Amino acid sequence: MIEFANVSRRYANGQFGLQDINFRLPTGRMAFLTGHSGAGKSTLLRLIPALDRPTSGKVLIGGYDLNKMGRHQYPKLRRQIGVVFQDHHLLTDRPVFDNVALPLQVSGYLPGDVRRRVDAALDKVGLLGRQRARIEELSGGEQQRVNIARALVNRPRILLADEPTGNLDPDLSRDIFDRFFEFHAVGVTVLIASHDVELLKQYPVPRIALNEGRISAFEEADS
Amino acid sequence: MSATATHDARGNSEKARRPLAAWRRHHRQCLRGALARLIRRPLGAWATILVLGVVLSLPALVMTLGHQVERLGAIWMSDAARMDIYLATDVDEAARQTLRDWLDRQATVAEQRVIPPAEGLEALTERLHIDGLETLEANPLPWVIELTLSDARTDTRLALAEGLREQAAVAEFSSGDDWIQRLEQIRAFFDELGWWLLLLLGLTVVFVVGNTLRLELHERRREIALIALIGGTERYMLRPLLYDGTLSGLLGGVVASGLVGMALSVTSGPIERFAASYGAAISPEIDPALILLLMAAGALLGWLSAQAIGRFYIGRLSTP
Repeated sequence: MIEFANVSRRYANGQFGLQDINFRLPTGRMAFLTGHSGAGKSTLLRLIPALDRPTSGKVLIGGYDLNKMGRHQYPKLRRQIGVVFQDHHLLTDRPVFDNVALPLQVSGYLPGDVRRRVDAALDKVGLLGRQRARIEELSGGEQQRVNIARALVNRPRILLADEPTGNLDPDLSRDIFDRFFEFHAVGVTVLIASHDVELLKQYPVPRIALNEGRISAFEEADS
Repeated sequence: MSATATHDARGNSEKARRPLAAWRRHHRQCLRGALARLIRRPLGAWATILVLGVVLSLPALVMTLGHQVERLGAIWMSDAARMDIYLATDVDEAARQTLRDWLDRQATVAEQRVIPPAEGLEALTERLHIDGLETLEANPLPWVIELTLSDARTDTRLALAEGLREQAAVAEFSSGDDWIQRLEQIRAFFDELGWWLLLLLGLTVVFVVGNTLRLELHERRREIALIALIGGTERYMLRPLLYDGTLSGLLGGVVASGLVGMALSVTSGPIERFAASYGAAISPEIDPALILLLMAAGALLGWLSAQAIGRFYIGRLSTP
């Protein structure tokens, strides 16, 4: 479960990135985070894996108040959260396999398990057979799919995505969203930030609309 | 007990994770990575190692100097098992014999040899290459008794010296005590200076290694931020850096040992000649314990700087 209670994030220049955010996303549910660029979507997502701290208010993940969490507890929290970022955050000096395997190696999986899981994750995003390819050799869309495979490989409890289809064509975008939807179907809590309104309309998923750092609307799923 | 792995709803198997095996693997990877970085960037890495070697070799050289002084001192000590007694000028044959009998009774005296003034003058003429000394009206040299002592310990010498002072026939006697004490002080001074230098220059090593590692961290900041994002612990992120620092320090110690060895081989000629003049043969060699000390000190200092720099930067990169 993800819960925000009166959360604000104010920057050093005095501007608010987020202001008085309140919402609850129960375990296993999926939601979209919508809004223009600069509305605060990325800022909100960064608070969940404790990459940033709120200036005031509380963020609770699975009932744990992140404000009360020490820095030595962050790794455990972050291993339960898969993140797909707007910019790919891929290590360009390593092949696809090594990039996807990283979360498993960090968590202490054995090489055999790592190989099996990496292959399964790459298969899910349609990149099986590209394990040895270098990141530079891939197209923008393929790189984003590597990013998604890396977020899924550890089978996280929570999946966060920030504009995951920004560089992909409509067919591939729908394909990626279908995968997120499948993941949600097996009990993963999914929160996806996207401004692609047309694409979002195709999924019966509630939408949290952000505008200038505030929640402007909470729309139940269209169906 | 069932040995089957437990699976949660997402198919995660508890059995798949082997923290200890993964930890060992990561250590091996970090060591390989540190060696690879050394080979990949030979100039930058070896420049640091060379600086470390030079810095560490300074205290080592001072300590080695102290060690050589100690060895030369030991030769001096063997010389110190001798003592010369100069008799008063008015001592007659009977008094000389009384003194010789007294010396015979001393357990600390192993041997005695009497040198009459004529023999002493002959030896002096020969040693100083001066002609005409034999034409002197009266031989100014006293009778001398050359003693070989049973051992060279300071206690033995002091006990004998006390007895000699009470003998009327004895005008003077040589004792090497002052020199031995001075040598011991010099050796202690070099030793202490070496340790202080090691401490002071050790700080320099921490900064030199730290600066290289800081550059390394800056280059890898994206990777570190990513590992933090996917749940890597600070120790996991720090580990490659610890290997880099320790390896650099260790190799710095090896370079320092090489430099000290080179310095010793350059100075070996004069030291050998000096030892030979005392009838001893020593060839200056680097003490194996010093090599171990240098390598251990280098490795420890490298590890310490990696800890300090790593914890500071990784903390900043991985926490909000």
